[in-house]
Amino acid sequence: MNVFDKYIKEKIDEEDHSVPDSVKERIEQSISELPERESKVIKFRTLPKVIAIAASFVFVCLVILPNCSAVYAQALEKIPVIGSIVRVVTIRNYFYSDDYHQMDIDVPKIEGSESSAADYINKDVDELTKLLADRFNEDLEEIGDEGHSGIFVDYEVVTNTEKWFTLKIRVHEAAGSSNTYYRFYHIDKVNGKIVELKDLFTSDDFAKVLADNLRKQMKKIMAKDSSKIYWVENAEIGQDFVTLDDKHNFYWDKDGNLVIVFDKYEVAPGSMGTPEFVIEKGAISDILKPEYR
Amino acid sequence: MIDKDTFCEQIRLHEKTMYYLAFSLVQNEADAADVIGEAILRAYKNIDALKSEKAFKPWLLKIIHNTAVEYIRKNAKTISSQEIDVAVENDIETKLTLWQTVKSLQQPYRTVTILYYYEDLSISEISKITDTTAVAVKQQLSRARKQLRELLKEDFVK
Repeated sequence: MNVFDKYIKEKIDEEDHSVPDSVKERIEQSISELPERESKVIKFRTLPKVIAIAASFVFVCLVILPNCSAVYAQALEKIPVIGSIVRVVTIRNYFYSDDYHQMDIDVPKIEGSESSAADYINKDVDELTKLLADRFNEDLEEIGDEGHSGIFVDYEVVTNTEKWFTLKIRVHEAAGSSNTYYRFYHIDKVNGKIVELKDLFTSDDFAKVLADNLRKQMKKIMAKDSSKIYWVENAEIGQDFVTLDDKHNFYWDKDGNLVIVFDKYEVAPGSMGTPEFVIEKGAISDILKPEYR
Repeated sequence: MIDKDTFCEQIRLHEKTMYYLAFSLVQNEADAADVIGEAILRAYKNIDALKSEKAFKPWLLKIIHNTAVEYIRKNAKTISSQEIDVAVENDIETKLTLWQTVKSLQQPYRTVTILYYYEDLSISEISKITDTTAVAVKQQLSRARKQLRELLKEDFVK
């Protein structure tokens, strides 16, 4: 903890922080007015037992049954290559904080999966975060108290089902005007491979089809709300920023729709943040590969 | 699912945190009491949404936060910032307490400061309660620190 934070904590300890009586009374009054509850079904304590039974059932199915039945063994072949029991942990945090410079970088690692896909992602993430941390430290030395900088990295496991895994890394740079961008990593657990946007589609047309869809959506939004701006083909600007490449950022939402994600400033001014657009299944079902429909 | 007795026990356990959070938003004792009263009722009505006892505190605080925000909108009170400024000014002669200084911060710095320093909540917990991102909370905290440092510089230097 830095010196200033310590100072704040000390001051807090010195002060009296009791809850005023009027508030305590109000709390008691509210509590006393609560009606009785009907006691219902399962309490928390029984849940672990249920899970234990379920887990042992799964164990039986996976281990014992295949040996008993040829049919079942065949069914096993369809089980995903990468176990669904994959998890992501923060293995490292780069942290620095003073009045002018802030760094807080969480480094995730995929665990529970011995696959080259997971290894590749872990290595890539490791390199990216190290690069950002090194760059921050260089700037810190160079700039010192003459300027400000901030770098914040965190992550989210967007999807982790039997068939699919998506890890989203968010990078936020705060120096002068701020910048936010994402890196998405996807693993198709069924074949154990890393997936990029182009891998979802049967033809290279996908970029154009998606871009057309996105432009339509953007224009519709702008027509409804004049405060929203996207850099869609515009006679005045003479430029169109809506182009997607093979690796563009995306994820699947919980309804199984494709969601395209843009970095800050990629297709719109900073005030629009990092826009996302849902592509309805119907719009792309004929160009999606069968396994992704 | 938790029963009424456990619910009440948990409420009492978190009374200080509830008060600090509500106060940080509505800035006076009476409104904070109203907000808490309303939030307790809402929490109780939605108790089935709570997945485990461990999640009680952040879940409760999120309800307090949302209730306070609605309360502010409904009452559209111009926050008695003038009163607060006057109070701060009068104290320039005497030493400013940390609490007075924190109370004088603008939002969202005030709430984030209180949750982080007074309640020892993590960035992640704060972001869930205030319904924003961890990155945003970190930024807010960073700026809050800067402001506090400026306001408290004389005392800090000593």
